[in-house]
Amino acid sequence: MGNRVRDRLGVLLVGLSGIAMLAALGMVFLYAPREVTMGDVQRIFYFHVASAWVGFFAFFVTFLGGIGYLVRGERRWDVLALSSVEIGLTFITMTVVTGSLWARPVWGTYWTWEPRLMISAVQLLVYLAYSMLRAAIESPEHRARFAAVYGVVAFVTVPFSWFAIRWWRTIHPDIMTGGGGMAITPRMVHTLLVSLGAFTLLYATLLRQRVRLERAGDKLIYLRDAHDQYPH
Amino acid sequence: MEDNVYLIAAYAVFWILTFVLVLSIWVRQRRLERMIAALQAQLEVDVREAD
Repeated sequence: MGNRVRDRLGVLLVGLSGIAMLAALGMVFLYAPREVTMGDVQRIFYFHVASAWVGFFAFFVTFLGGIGYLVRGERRWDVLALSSVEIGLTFITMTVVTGSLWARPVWGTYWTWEPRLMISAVQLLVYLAYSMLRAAIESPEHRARFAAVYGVVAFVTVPFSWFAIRWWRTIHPDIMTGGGGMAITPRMVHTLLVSLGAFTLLYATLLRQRVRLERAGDKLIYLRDAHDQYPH
Repeated sequence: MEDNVYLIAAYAVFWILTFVLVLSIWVRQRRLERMIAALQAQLEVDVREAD
């Protein structure tokens, strides 16, 4: 019964996030107006910002998972942190790549060494290292403790990335202040909000599936231990 | 027109990366489920033999 209820929740989440993503995509191309300075290429902005939001939020969940593990010492917090990092890495990669594709026609280059872009690149490497270093530690307890501390410390890259465009001189647009030469209209704000909601739902769906995957891995280890206890 | 190539490429990158992530989770889940089922069957045999 419990499994059936959980599966229903999974199906509901997949359905809702699918509908929300289609709605966001429809609004990006059919509802949001063409930006006057940049033209249609500005439409990258909606999924670019939403990807960055999910990436930051995923790393925040990893930060919370790290604190949870250090305080409680329970495996479920480690599972949450690990699962969220994988999703965060995917979405920050999307953010960097879609940002470069937007920058080429607008700035005339795919990449420039300005603060926001540099911090994004460093952030990507920091969380890639999290995954690689985790895999290199054999003892589950040491691995979880190390990952928890690393996940808490690595989170410093998120506020740095967020505030980089306010703390330093940068050419990156700032949607909060309207800086960077983008004229934001109410329809653009609606489209961005729907995109943010759709991406958050997608994150919840992916996180749930990724956590289930980690639990299946734990179950396999438990069964192997049980199997090894019998004489063969 | 040239700018639309970047727009299409950006949305293609989004869908491709999402698809790769979903596929990778699904493939690993299926592999684990198969291994769990095989181990559970083996454990039932172990329990019967031990009895």
